[in-house]
Amino acid sequence: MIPVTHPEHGRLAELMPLYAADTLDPSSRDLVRAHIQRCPACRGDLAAWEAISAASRILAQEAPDPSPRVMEQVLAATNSSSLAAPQAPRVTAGLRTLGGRRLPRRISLRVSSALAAVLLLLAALLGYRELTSPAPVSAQTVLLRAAAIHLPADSAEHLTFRVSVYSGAANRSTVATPNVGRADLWIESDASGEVIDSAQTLILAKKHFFSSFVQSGATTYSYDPEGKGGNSIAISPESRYDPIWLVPNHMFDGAAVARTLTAPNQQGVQLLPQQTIDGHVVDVVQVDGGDRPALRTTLYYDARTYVLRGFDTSGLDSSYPLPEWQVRLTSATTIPASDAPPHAFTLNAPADATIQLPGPDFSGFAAAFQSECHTTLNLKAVLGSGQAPLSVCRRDNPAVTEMQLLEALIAPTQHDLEVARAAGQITVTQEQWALSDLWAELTTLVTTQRARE
Amino acid sequence: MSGTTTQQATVDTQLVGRIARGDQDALSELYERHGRALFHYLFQLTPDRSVAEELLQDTMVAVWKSAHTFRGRSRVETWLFGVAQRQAHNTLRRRGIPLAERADLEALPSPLPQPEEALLAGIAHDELASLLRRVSPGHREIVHLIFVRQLSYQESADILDVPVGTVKSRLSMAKRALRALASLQKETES
Repeated sequence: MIPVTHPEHGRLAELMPLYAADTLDPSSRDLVRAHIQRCPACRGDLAAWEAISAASRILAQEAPDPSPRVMEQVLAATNSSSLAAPQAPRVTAGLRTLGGRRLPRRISLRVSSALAAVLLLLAALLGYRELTSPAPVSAQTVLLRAAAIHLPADSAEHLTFRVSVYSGAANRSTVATPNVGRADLWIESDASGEVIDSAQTLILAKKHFFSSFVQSGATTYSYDPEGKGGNSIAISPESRYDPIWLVPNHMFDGAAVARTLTAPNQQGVQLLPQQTIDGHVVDVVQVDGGDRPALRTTLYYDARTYVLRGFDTSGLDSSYPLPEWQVRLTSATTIPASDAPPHAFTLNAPADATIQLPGPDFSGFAAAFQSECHTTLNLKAVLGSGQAPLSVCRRDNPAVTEMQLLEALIAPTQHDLEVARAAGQITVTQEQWALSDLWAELTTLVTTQRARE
Repeated sequence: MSGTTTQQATVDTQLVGRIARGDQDALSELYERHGRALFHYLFQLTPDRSVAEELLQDTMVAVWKSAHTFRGRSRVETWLFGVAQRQAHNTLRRRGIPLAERADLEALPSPLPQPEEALLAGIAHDELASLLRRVSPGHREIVHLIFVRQLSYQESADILDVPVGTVKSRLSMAKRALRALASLQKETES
């Protein structure tokens, strides 16, 4: 749990917009990510910035393109001697300029685009998957085809991957052996074919590494003992707050990744030459950044079926070495959702794992405080002022008892824990221990007067 | 900076060098690379398409005239947006087209109670985009630079010619303005 006046809080809060914009450098990003894990109020702040970020991109996408006459007029204006660039004499513009008229720069592109269109049409008529691995015209072509693959409705897909993790990404050749293991992914679709749940279990040989990560609707459950949480389970309302992992669930879902990468304004995506992986010819798409700004991800899509055959990740910044991952598909099975094993979509964390509890600046506490105390005062500000919240609460609601305030404050977390327990993510005992710990901490919180910070 | 980004920055710098030597083809190429993004930025400052196009035209002519002054202290992209910003602010102010001034941007009403963050996060993104259309152009401008152009605080400060602290506070004000609009809309609906 994080203190309300954590020394880093202010500085990290300033970085939230840049985190939402995906423009932080890797080390700052990791700092913010770790802070978010422990600071529920920051999650609320970040959620607001992410909403603004998404809205601003929608607005930008809606903006029209400038008309072609803009540049025609600029060229006409800059052709006049009075506006010529003041430095150095004009150099010959080369073969593209002929008698003041610009030859269409895009002739060759247009021809190749037309040719590509004809080829795509032919491929469509013949059934492109029957062609012998035609080299695609662009990364977008590969991604659009991969993105078109959908899970059948009400089904569960079980994917297994061979995983090799090389530590010290800067120089793989000097690393003796990778940490090898297996990743199991379960993906479930609803009646409309949309993915609603996904679960990843990662087991690596060295150190008996085990972690588990479940996304169920908007809620994320994670157990990542190698991360900073230790032997504890994190419950988050936002799928973005995954543990500090390199490979979140959706990365293993080739169609989901492709849909992300075909979004407008996606940059840093390029097509590399085809390769053969595990006997399959694959189209190779390299992505710099994406939703992991510090990473280069190389995706291998089957050139015939567009199933994701595997991917590699490596750090982009040599001064900040990240582990390199090599992930290869070993099996894929789709079954009716009702036939999925009982624990396919649960964390399966050890019974002695504790639950990470929200800190005093959790937005759920703040809302409950305002509602129960009939006040607009901010709980965080009250705590910062050193006053006991119960005393402050009684100024506007004199009848409130300590028990009533505690019950109000605990209610949002209690609800989250009940949902987690009902979904089988945590046990009854874990739920009860968590509630008991939270009750004890809140009792101290609401009645204790603190020295002003 | 990634390899690809570094490569793009090098190409941009070479193009500006060629423009400084009077190469119109380089100007066209620079326009092909950045014209659309510049136009989208200018469109945040004025909803009038013809005015935005005129500003874009002025920007490219200004780039042509001032390319020789580019010293490579910032990325070309940052420099281009700075040129566009100055063209836009000067022209719009001269014509009396409303564009919130700096003083207005830093003097919005006092903040609402904090837990309103959830209000913004709970609104559909397209609805929030509609609200974004209603905030002052200056607020839209900073939101665009940070989230759409994905610039750093320092780069945004360079473009807007303000201190970094002002960029941060302006961004905060933009969120506050959106929150106020969202709250108002919620009250109207209920």
